[in-house]
Amino acid sequence: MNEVNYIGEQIGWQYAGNSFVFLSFVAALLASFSYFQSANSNELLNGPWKKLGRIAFSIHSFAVIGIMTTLFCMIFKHLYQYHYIWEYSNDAMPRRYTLACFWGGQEGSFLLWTFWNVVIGNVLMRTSKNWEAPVMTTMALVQVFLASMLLGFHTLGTTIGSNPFVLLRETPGFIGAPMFTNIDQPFDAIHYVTKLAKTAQGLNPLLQNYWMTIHPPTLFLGFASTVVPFAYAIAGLWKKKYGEWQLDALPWTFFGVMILGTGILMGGAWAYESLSFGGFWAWDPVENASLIPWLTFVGAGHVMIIYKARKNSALSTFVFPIITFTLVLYSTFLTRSGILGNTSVHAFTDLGMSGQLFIYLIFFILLSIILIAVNWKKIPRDQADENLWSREFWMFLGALVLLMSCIQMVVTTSIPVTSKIAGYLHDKLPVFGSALEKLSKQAPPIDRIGFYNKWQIPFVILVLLILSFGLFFKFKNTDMKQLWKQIMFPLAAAIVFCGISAWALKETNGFYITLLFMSWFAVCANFYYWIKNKKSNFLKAGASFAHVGFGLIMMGALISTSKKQVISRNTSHKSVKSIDESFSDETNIRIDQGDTLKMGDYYVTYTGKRKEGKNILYAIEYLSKDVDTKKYTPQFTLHPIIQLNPQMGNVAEPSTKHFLNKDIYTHITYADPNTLKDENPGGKYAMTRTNTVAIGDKMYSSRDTITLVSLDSHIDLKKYSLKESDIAVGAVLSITDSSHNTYRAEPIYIISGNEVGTIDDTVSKAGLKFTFSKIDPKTHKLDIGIAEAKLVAKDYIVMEAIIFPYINILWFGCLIMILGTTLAIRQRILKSREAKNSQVTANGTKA
Amino acid sequence: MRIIRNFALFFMVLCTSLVNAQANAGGGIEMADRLKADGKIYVVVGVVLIILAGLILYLVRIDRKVSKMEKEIEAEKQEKIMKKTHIIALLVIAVAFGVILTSLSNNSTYASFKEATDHPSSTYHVVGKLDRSKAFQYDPHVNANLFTFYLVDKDGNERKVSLGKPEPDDFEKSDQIVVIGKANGNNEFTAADVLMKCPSKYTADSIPTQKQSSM
Repeated sequence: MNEVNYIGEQIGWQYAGNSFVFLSFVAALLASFSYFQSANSNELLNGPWKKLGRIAFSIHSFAVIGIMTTLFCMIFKHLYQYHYIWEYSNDAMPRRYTLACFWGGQEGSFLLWTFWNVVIGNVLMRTSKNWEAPVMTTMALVQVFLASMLLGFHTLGTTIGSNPFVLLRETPGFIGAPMFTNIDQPFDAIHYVTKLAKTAQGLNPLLQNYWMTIHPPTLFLGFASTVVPFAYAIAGLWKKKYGEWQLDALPWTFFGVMILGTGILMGGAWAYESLSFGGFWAWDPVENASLIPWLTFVGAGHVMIIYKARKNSALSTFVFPIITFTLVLYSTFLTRSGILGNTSVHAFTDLGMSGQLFIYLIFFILLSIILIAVNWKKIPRDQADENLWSREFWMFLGALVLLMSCIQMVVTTSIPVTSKIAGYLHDKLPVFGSALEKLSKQAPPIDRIGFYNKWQIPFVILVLLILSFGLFFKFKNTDMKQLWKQIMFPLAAAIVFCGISAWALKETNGFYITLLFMSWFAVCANFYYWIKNKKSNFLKAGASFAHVGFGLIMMGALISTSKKQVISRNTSHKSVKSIDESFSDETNIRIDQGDTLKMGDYYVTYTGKRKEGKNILYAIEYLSKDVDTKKYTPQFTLHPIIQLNPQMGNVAEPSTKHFLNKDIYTHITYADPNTLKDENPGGKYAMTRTNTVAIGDKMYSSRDTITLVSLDSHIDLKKYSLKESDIAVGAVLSITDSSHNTYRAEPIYIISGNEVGTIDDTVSKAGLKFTFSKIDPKTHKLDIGIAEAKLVAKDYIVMEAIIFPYINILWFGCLIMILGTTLAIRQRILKSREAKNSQVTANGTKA
Repeated sequence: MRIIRNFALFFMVLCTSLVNAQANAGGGIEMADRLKADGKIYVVVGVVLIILAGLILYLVRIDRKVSKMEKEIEAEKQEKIMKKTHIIALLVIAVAFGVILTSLSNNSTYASFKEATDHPSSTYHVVGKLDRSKAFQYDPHVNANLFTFYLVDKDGNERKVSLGKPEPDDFEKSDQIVVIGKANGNNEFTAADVLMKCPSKYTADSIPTQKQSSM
């Protein structure tokens, strides 16, 4: 067969990309092996092996950056002949989303993860000193697995990894498409490259958002940082140094807690601001998948503090980081294997990597279990029982409560997995038939948000209780009288604040009041602790601020969720309650253009819409009504958006008005399909109404105010192909519509000999046609005819409006928690350095 | 005795909050409805109570032993005592067990329309395909919160489905649909929510059609 010539293809990128992918994989393998050898060999050989490991890891780092640069350039150059580029970008997308495209797909997000691991690995290589070889062995091993995700290597009937450098014509599903096989005679050439720009898919419109540029990198840096304590724990087990690594891993753990926490909160803010979840947290499986490892990560940080202070709970300092890392892998498996397809709104589609991900997961679980089992007897156990009135006891209990809350989330989130496994076992196993069948038909909870809230609130209450008292306890033992004396003041303050806020919010649910009280208590107690015990020293505020922040987040979440008020209540139409009791009239309401409906304390008008690029902006005006004068005063206007996207379907984006004490969220749940197409009033006009007016008079159409401004006698006769002898007069009209847009129109009146004629003027944007039909010389009045465009029906939208009270407490809490954790990291690093210095000096004096 | 007292306290807080959760859930949220309906909730409650009773008994016994030992310890300090951490571990296991059991029994199940019709009081997830031969209706002028369509389940049974929400975006493009709700008397299905699965984009279809139009 003749070699076909694909015109315009740029194959070089593929070669470059694949070389880098292969290099990164091999170099990671070599790095892992060298570091392994270095850690296992005697003093003589350990140096050279370590050197080799460093070189290999540096090559790996170079290769990963090479892959990223290649892919980035390809996106930037719009090389649509590559599947990844075709799938996630197109010409219509603004340049600022190039980065978002980069990690829009699975391959790109794996690459992002790999990149952060490279960054962390390079820092570790330079800072971990004695721990370098064993820690970097695990780091490099993780990189081997991550790099293999990009290999796209066909062997034994399966593919390892998914390669982002595959040409579209080589992609399964596209192979053999006519476009790639139609040969343009007589040149033996196929011109398909230039035709691809039209079909390129582009990033899912939901992801074309600035959050998409900052949320994934933050989240993945958080995920990547979980590997550090894990690698240290594995190194500790492997080298049988059970108690020295915690000090080094602690700053990393809190760093990860801070970054991952920030990433999760960014996700929440994104969901709240521009996705239509109707809240900041929807307990979506994908959201849970990121929250669960964060909770165990927080637990890991705290048990390490216990260990550092008291040399207690050594086993937990291994277990928590291992669980955390495993949960990160598990959540990767959940979100990327396609198993959540039926239950989550934003899981990735399956790329056929689920098997590989599963092996990855099992490998690290087995490795950890075996290492723990081998060392089981040697891991130091607590010599004495912890004192009940000690900080370590309650800290540990807090970590356990976090673990409990995780178990509930993992079990419920994993229902699609367990039902799949049960279904498989049901087909294969002869026993437990009915139980397995039942399990295989399990579906996720119906009212997901309600279900999780009910389960998690008790855990939250316990956690808040523990972290209110927590800092007042001292390590080892606490004088309880002293503690009560100290806690009295914040306790009293919390009771007062809780009383006031519960009264103000008219909260009657005992369960919620308990949570409200606990969050107030956590805020007051930790703030008081900082003022009293840390003498308001900002740099020592870490723990207190992190705890205050957590309390505020819970308070904000509680108030904004439990007191959330849907104001778009449908009142004027047939009730859906007659169809089913569970149906609610209280969410969506139809509003016609120009109508004003009462929503909560506001009166809401849909004033109109305009098109900006591919977005349709709907103007929703909120008005207030004066009781006495019955006059409406505009308060603010929101512009929820519908983004037109013929390839992936239209997407609605809510708009929210932020006040200090509440947010008003407005979302279009449905828009008149006729008006989503390009606007065209149809050119058909209703009957003309004639107004007799003088200059300066006003006329009205159903929506607009029209003023006769002046008469214009300087008409360009040639333009209207009139004779020199004709007399033409124009009536200059100014039109102002209900959205305060102004247009001009000039209908013309002609006297041609004995005949009179008219030239109409239309203003299509306002849907009006004007006719200047008569001049009365006696009264100096004109007859202006106005015809309005016949609309098929009034334009309407279906919208939803929700008030979230005091949601700013939540965002403020987020900032405080992030600030607190950052301060804690700083302090941990300082303390870790101090400890090392004192060790060095101690050794020095000994020598 | 102090240990016991405080543990009992902690334990009670934990229990009451969980029981509270259940009681609270009784109102709006479906929790263990199936079990309640089947009367099996008593079995679950019974099992949980037995575990609790066992644990409390165990705690009391340990406490006696401990106080006995405490005297001995005064004499010889090497004596090993039951650690608090062990008690916590047991507690954790008990709570974890309870959590897993209840959260697994709480949820709705996938079913066919026939099953749903047989049990009109239970909520089900039904997976099916849209019947495109029959029109789906959404008229915000009548009611903005009502959308109806016809769905064929995996057994081939068809029901009219009423959804208490506006028509979802791109509904007509969806391939597989999961409706979550109950059967009602008129041989219809009322859904509180729908989940749509859009057809995979990984097909060659999108290319040839484009090609025809461009060539």
